[in-house]
Amino acid sequence: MALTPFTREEFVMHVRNMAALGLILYIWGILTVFTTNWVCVMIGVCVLTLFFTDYFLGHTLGTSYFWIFLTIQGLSNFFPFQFPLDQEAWKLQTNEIISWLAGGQGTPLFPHADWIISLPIVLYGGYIALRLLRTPPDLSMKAKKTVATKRWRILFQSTILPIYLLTFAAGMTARPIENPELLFWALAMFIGSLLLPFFIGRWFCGWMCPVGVFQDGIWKYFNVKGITISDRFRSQINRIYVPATMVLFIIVVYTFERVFQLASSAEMIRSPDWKTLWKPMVWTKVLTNGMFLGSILFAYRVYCRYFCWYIGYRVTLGQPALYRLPFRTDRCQMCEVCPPEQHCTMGYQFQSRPEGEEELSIRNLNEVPATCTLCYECRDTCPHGVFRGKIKRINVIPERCVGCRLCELACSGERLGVFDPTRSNIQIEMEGIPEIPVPRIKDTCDACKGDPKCIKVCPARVIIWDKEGVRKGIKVPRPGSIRQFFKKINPFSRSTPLCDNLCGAYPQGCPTCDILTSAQEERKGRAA
Amino acid sequence: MTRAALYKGYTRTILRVNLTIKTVTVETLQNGQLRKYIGGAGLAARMLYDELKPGIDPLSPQNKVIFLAGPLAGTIIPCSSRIGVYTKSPLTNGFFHSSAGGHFAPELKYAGYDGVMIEGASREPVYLYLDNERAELRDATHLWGERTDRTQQLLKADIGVEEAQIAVIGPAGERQVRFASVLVGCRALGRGGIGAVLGSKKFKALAVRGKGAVAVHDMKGTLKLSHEIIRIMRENPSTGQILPRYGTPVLVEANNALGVFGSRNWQKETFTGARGLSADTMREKIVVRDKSCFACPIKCGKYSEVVQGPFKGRKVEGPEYENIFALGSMCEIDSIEAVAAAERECDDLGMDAIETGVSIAFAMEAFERGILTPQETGGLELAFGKTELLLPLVQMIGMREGLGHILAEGVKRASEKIGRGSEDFAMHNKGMTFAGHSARGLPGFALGYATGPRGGSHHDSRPTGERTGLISRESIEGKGEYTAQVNHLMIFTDSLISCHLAEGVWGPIKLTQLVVDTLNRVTGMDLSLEEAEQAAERIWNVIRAFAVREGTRRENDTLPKRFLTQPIPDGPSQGMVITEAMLEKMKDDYYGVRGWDLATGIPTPATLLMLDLPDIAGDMRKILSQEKEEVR
Repeated sequence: MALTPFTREEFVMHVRNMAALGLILYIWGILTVFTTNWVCVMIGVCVLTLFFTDYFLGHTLGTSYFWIFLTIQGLSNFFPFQFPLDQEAWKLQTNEIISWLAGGQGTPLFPHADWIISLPIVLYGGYIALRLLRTPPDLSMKAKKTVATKRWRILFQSTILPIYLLTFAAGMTARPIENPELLFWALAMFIGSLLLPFFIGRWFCGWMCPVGVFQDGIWKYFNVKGITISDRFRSQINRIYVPATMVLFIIVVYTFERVFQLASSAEMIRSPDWKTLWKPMVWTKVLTNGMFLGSILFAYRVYCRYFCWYIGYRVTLGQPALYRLPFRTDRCQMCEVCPPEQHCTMGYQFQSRPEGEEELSIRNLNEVPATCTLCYECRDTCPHGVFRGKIKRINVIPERCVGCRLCELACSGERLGVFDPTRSNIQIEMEGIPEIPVPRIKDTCDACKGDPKCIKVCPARVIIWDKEGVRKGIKVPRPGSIRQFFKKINPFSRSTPLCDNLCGAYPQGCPTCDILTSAQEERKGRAA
Repeated sequence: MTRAALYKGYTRTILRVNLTIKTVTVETLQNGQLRKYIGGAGLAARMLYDELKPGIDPLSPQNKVIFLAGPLAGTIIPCSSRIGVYTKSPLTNGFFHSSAGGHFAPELKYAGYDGVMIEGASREPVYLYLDNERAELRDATHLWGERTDRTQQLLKADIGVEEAQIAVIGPAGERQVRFASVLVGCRALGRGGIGAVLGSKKFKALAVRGKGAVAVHDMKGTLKLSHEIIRIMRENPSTGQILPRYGTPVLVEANNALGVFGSRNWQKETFTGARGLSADTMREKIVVRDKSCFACPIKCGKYSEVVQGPFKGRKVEGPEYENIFALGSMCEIDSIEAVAAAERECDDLGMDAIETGVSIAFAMEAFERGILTPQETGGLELAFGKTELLLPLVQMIGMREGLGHILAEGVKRASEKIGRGSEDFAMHNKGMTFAGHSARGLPGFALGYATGPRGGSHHDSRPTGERTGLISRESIEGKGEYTAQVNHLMIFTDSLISCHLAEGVWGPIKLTQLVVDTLNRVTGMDLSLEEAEQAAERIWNVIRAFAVREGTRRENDTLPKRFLTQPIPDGPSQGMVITEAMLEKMKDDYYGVRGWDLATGIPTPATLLMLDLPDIAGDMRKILSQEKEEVR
């Protein structure tokens, strides 16, 4: 039981052990009601986190902290926590939840069966957590592109998430039948969500939807690789399944569950009557939640792509939105930058392929896909500005190039983390002897999203903005005459006060400067 | 040692190529070794000290040549991607290092090697092709005898890779002209005769194609630091305005105005025709566009093309100041076109332009004094200022024809061969001629020339401090300490292989934290300034020990008679001279600072032990005791 760092194989083995234990306990707990439900939930969540860690050993440290936190929380369910809200109201509402979570009672023979069962598991989990702590993250796995709007989106989502959690805590335990004012809000939200697509499409899904936030968070944090969904499956699921889910979810689940509060999660929590398991509504609930959780394992936002009722509604509507993503498919260069399945939350196939599913290729689309959530992932990835109205590109003036190749180094260094000119987006080719440098910008150059690193280092003003012609280099402060005067008389000035032109002569009078100025004057005179 | 602690920046791989038995083996560099000797000149000095037996003939198969890319090569650190070549010089018989810019070093790094060591000698001409991991010795019979530019074109067609970088020797190297150079594109690894050593090994070229990457310890820090250095370089008037616009030829007018611009084989130190060679004239007449080496924002290289006159159509990268000095001023030739054409000829033949120019000036003076007769020159009437003679003389030396056969031995050996008092105006130290910076006008630099392990090289010590007035050039006080400091800056930057033209940024008169930072950010070495200075001193002592083993003593650290006896005859620096007494006083000062034996100039074992060089200390102890016995 040495606490050595995990190898990948060991880690996979432990995750499997944990999952098997969790499954056995869960089934046993359901059948006998001896085990605390919380223990089962805890183990389930832990297995999930470990599963994702396995995909991504780079985040071992964070995962182990998360797990230790969960363990402590799990133990604390024997000492119900206080929430700093209206104490009395909160107690009324949460007692039921807590009693459900701490629902196991144990047998008469073993009054604290859950303790006895969970303790070894908690110890086992602690052991894994400690070893995870010792496992150094794999830095190569951590290299992940972050883009500007993605950051904004994540920020927006994370501010809105706590609000949702509070709303849910209130909504889950309230009964609209008993509180008719809530019914009004529920209906308002429902109708609002039906109207929203006419203005900004599925913006709500990309930026505000709590289900999306949950999935984005998991994918952002754990970097799940997921399973590639074939184009065939996608096209079939789009044609058949989406209308079906629309009918199913809108009519059956959401209407009955949300509005009339039949067989809702809240109902389940209030009366965890396992004898009513035969009720079909309960099973739909179990299935939908299970589908949602399970979908996370497959691909990014699978639930949002195929299972959410909203997508069905949206697809049926077509594309009525007033604001749409700019979509200039003529700019597509068929470059290698956007591999399929990676840069669209809705899983659209961006890379144009001559063969295969032609209708899903972006080049053959004339308008934005109806499922677009305006997440702007594509806009930040595409170097050719397919998803931008105006684009900024850089260009070169080959005659000016001096062949220093600093641009290649800055490009590869900033983007790839190593100096590798063959993979940089700007290339200097040397021709002939003596070599004449010829700069060339690759198709994949995206001008560093408007802040080109190559421009900063170029000593010869070779690289320019394509349109505006604005050049942002490293700023060299050029002191004015007054500042220069004070610099000269300042005895504490760090710069040498003499003619610090190192190819000249004496501080008293640098011949080089004199000659240069006289030559310049001469030339000026000649010109005049 | 764990993997994470290995220094980045280096590839830690050196190829050892044995031409005799035609094998290529891979060697790995260790952290301790790298921390002690940094890389470049330091590492090579130590390797050659260990591997070369004392007293071998530099042109024999026992000699070895090392190509090394520094730890900073291939990274964005400006002006630091130079290739260095190291060997025992046939000109000076000491450890010799030469570096050149261009794009060769990064290519070698991207191919996955820090360096290539070439040993033994082949019977038939060969060249080595490195294509990433693949190393291949190939037959070069069809390339033998070709000029450098054509060889490179042929080789590129041969291997079918246009991007390949190639280091070649020319006909001069094949004929073992003692100052033959290695050409990388149009950049020359000149002075000490590396081309001759490779020629003796029948090694025609080294072609490299690299597609890998160079990883650094701290990428963000490296990028930030390089931006900072680029900013400093742009703010500095020298590296920011003068050099980018005019290149090194700006020194022609500057040195001439100061009266330290050697002319007429150092008979004078002003040149009346300097206007015809100045940077302004050059820019007006021949410069087509600016060029720079890899990762260099200074772009002091000039791509020139002669558009009129007898030398029409000659294209050249340059000419640089030293070439203008040697081929122009020294021979009293005031036509920039002629200088450009002659430099191109030197490059094509693959030999050093400074040595060539000074050798020609030496021959001209000898002829004017009647020491050389028309029979010996093959009927040529040599005289200073004869522009039409320049090109034929360069060709004669490169092909070792007639008089050229004698001059190709270098000024020292030529004067010994000719005799008749020509030794007095053979302007060399340890066999290498002086570069275009006056010894008489700049006392500290004179000391640097005298004690320099490479002889008359202007890169062992620098004239910059004294020329700009940071250090007084009127007195000889404290010049020992000053020269030692400049030596340290030079050898440390030569070990990183950073460009000395950026010395205003690196130094200019002593090692600074900025230089050490570049190394630390890239390699993760975490050297302090003191440790870096110690490393520089260690390297300097290794090089000195190498020279001592080859027989260099205090009496070899000297200047030619002309510098020691004749004051500067005219111009602003008129009357300045370094007398023997002054030089000896400065040498005492210098040896004292260095901790070397005052009587012999041999590093004392105590000094070497302090620098963690116990084995070399043992060697030096033996030589010292032998010396003392001889004295008795």
